Parts: sequence; structure tokens; C-alpha cells
Amino acid sequence: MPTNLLVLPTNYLSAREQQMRKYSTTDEKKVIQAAAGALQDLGFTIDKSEMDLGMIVSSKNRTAVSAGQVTAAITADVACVLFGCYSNLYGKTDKAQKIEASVMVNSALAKDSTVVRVKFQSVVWNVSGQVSRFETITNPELYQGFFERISKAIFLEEQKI
Amino acid sequence: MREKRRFCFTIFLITATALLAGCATSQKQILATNQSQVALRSIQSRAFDTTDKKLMLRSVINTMQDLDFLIQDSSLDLGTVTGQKFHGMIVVKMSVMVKERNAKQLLVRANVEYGIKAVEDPKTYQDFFTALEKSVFLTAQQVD
Repeated sequence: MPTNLLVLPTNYLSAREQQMRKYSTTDEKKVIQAAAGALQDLGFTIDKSEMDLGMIVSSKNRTAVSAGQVTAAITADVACVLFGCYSNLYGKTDKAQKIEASVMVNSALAKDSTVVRVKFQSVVWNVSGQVSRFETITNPELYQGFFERISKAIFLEEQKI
Repeated sequence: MREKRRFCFTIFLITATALLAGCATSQKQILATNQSQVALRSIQSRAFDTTDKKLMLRSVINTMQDLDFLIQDSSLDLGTVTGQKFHGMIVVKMSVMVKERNAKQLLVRANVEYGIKAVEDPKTYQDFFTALEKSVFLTAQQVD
């Protein structure tokens, strides 16, 4: 078992930069509502929420099928059969994914403003129904898009931390 | 014919015993810990000189997020936060509970699961409390 499970990672500041924005308002409720709206805009369903700590947990289930991956796997499987061996690469291709988004809204982190921190993760299953990988989503456009939607809803520009 | 029946009965007995024994081992895990409970509690808990439970929970959430966890649940009433992160193909789950220890202190207790194993190594928890100390600007005090 690794011993560094809870050691602060060296890149935690850059992770903060990507995942956090602050809005110059102290109306936490308004920001939470805007964040919930932004998640719904992105197709997430709200699983859990708590106003006291400003938490929203949401998820969406989507396909993970990639035409290129399926074609490559089937071609390899057929080629294998032609050479007289057995292969089931198709069974290992991605089929479905569950994307989870967790938002924490906090007005105690910065003076006269409210800080929003969001994180997206996904679990991908293959055609055989096994988990094929876990991913933390780091696509900057997704994060930026999320924060812009909150900005539009509360008429305030988001600021980097 | 009779021997065949006896043979079948023996097979049935062996299978049934194996299944029941299997049941017993998997259920034994429900209450099992490797360390003594007192030792484990001491490894997983620290006291802080503050009574602001909400601020402490928010600091726990911040620290867990810095440690790459995705927060999955939280409750101010109960004083709990739960999160998970991925370590390759292994899921790491963590829950933290904050409660009043006395009139001046809060007690923070964390527990971590790595895949299907409980984390009982003192260093891992020490690392968490070191990170939490920085976030709350308070010293984490060892409790008995």
C-alpha cells in the first residue's frame, strides 16, 4: 500500500487555479443556485446537496463508445481469427461512462467574495461490463465553461484565485 | 445405488460446509480491524483549539480537495465529509468526522480505505493532519 496517499501533491496550487474561481458577492445562496443551474445546463443531474456547507454533488451517465477504438478492435480480432488464434479486444473497448461533478461554494475563503471550487471525474466501463479506467477530467475548457455559466447567471465576472 | 446416494450426500455436506464457512469469513470482516481500536482511534484523531465546527468542516473540505479528493457527501449537523480519489485503478475513499470534544476543542477523526483495505498506517493520517493544520492555522494535538 502506498504511504504517500495523503501527502499534499506538488501541483496542488495549479489544480486550485483550474478548479477555483471567486465572485465578488457574499450571497452564497445565489452562487449555489447558479452553480446548480450551470450543472443542469451541462446535463448533470443533482444527486446530493447541502446548503450549510455549500455542497452540490451531481452526475451524468453517457456513452463512451469511440468509433475508432471499436474499428481497431474488430479489425484486430478478425485478423487474429484469420491467423487461427482467439482474441477479444472488442470486449475491452469503452462502452459507458459516469461523470461525477462536485461543487463546493465557500464564502469564508476570501473577503467580500464567494469562492466556487468544482471537480469532474469519470469512471469508464468496457463492453464486458468491467471498469476500464478512472479519470480526473482536466480539460480546461470544461472548467472555464462551467465558471462562465455561473457568471452569466449572477451577472458577475469570475476572477482567478 | 446406495453407495452412489452416500457419495452424493458427502459431496452435498462438503459443499454446504464450504459455503457456510465462506459466509462466516466474509461476515467476520464487518467488525474486524487489524490494530486495536484504541490505537487506531489515536492514529486517526486529533484535537484542535477551536469550537467553530462549520469553519473546521470547510477547512477539512479544502484540504481534501487539495489532496485531490472529489467530495461526495457532507453534513454540517452530523459533522461529516466523505470523498474519493483514484490511485491508478484503485479507489481511495476517505471520511472525516468533526465533533465537539469539550467546551474549547473540536475532535477531528479521519478514516481512509484503499481499494478493499483499511489504511491503518500512522504516517498517512499524520500527513493529512499536517495539511489540515496549514489550512486552519491551528496545531493538531494528539489525543489519547
